Amino acid sequence: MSDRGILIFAYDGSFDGFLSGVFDSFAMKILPADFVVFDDMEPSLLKIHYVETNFEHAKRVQKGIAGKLGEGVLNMVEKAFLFDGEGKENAILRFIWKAFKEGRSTGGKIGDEEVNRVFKMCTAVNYEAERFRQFTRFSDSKGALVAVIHPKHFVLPLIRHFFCARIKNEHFLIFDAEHGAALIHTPQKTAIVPVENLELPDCGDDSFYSDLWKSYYRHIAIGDRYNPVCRRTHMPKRFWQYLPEVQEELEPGYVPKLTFGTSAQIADSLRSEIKSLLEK
Amino acid sequence: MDIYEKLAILSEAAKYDASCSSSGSGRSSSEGQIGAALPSGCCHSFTADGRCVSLLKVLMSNACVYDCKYCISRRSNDFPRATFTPRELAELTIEFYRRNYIEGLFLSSAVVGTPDWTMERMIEALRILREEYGFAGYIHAKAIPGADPVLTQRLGLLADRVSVNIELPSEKSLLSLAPDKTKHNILEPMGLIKNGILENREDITKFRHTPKFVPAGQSTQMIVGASPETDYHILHLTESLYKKYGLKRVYYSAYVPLQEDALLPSLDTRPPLLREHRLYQADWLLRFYGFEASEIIDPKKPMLHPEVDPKCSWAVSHLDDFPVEVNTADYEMLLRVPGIGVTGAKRIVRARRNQKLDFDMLKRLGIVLKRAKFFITCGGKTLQKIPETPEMMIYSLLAPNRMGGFTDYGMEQLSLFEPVLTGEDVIGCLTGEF
Repeated sequence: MSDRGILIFAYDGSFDGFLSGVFDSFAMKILPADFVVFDDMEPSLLKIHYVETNFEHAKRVQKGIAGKLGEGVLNMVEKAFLFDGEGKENAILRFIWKAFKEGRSTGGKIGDEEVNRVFKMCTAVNYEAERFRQFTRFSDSKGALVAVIHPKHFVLPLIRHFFCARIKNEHFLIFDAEHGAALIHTPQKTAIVPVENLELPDCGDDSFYSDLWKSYYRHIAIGDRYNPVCRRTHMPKRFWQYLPEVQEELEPGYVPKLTFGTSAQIADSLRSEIKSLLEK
Repeated sequence: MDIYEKLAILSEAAKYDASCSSSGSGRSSSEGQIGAALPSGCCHSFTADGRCVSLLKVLMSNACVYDCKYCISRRSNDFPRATFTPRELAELTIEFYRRNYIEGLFLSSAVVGTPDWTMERMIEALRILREEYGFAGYIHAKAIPGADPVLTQRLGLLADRVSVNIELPSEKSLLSLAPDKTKHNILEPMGLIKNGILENREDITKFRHTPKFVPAGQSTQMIVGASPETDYHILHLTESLYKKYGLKRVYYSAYVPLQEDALLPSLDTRPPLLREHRLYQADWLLRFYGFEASEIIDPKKPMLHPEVDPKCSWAVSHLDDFPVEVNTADYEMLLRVPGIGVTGAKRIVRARRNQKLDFDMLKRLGIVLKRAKFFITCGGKTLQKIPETPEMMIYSLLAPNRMGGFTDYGMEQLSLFEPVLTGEDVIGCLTGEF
């Protein structure tokens, strides 16, 4: 691995594309300095390797991880890939290299820096998914249920079962405006499909039940125990845009911040690691 | 009266019930049904006071024949009254549910006419929900003390969780503040439900299609601060409810004065929120951390300490058991380290199976070392010098940021809120010495 760290991998952004990149990395015995999606690439002096998405390669990598490292490691890889933040691909690739070197137990070494990065990504994805199980709200549009969400990470695959299990006889749609995808469900079929721009039809008026809900929310609070900090801890403000019961309390023009801790931390620690590699 | 007005009155009347959890039950719906329940529960909103809203929590009716002094719905109070019809309530639950506002329904009621009549109305609402709408979400129902055991049994077959409120922590307080309720009346349905759950568990192993009886277990609630019982009394009562009646949860509700009465605290009393918070912390120690009530609280000092949480208090009075070595200590012992919770202890156990842990790794695992650093070693090393006496330890714990450890021991701790406690006060309370 003499030329370790002098190359950039570029792929199409799909999971299969990423796994093809993992395949190439092992075939070429190279850990790239960066691993990015074509579209997000910045001009660079480093050599670029364009990963060609190859389903057969992807399948082999998947099988190899499951067989040699166990389902646990594969689950971590799959979940971490839902993370949306700089350096995600590189962090996962490094984790896979380490796992093949050190064996099945790698998934458990969550105190180790390289493993911990991926572990933290999984935790962040889980956290985000749980928030959207809690705070997604549908409105009834002529019998069909519609919700628009802006999650930090791509959580649709993780919240899919939750909603399909409970309202299986309904027609519903959850549009992830941040990642351009929608979960569409009818009693016969469920699918997550890429959606570039969704022009929602006129939703009609669903205020009868949302007004009842707002009134319920107001009456269930105990004035003597008012505790706004506690409420924000459990229900951060960036979710309020979805919640009819608190929307009116948001100051006009409030824009939720989507840049955040874990992502920045991971990008930083990767950057410093790669820098030290390049200097060697 | 329209549904909007009814909902306003009957949710207002239900707000003092602390419980809103939807955990402990796993249900899934089959063809033509709606809803599911997760063992972990799910909070869909949080009220302005920071409490979880997981269920549509309402009373069936607030037209009560009883006259409990602490209660807003008592007969002698001049207050608007309303009653849902069972069908109205079922429909409202379904419409909220499909919009993902709630996990299900928490149905309680004032006693209308007789306990039996009240329970029948509640059962009818739940029956419509379960049978006509095919609702497989979560239902928490309150059993009405004094109702026929057959009705309690039927309620238990429709609900996931059933609770009977114990209301006040002792019979004497119950007698003076809730003259229409008796200890027997409350404990009887509790015992019925407990036995029902045990029998059901056995039946389920024998017969394939046994309907589930109260699958999420039962819970109860008591008011704290309306009567003179101590934390010592309350925690021992709690422990015996868990052990004798197999309860899943005991809730505490800080008393909010609603009316003037010679027997009650005056109207300007603030709800004892800190006390309630400490009781919940102690309750957590009983349920998840393997503590006994007698370890947490001492009859000679029968109130929990306001400034230091119960786990820290315990650790400070057992300094001989510390520091523990993170790489070798049992899971049970890790749980007893201040600053390490259930998630942290589990992560440590998972991580150390494969490699030796150091302090950097602990940080990466998300262990908050602010408190834990005084009670642990990693590979035989401590992060900084460990305070040797309980006095020094408390100063280090109370002001870790300002003092950077115990080096400034002896400085008066400044507080913006309460009158400053002297060193003796704090230590006396923690170690049980006077």
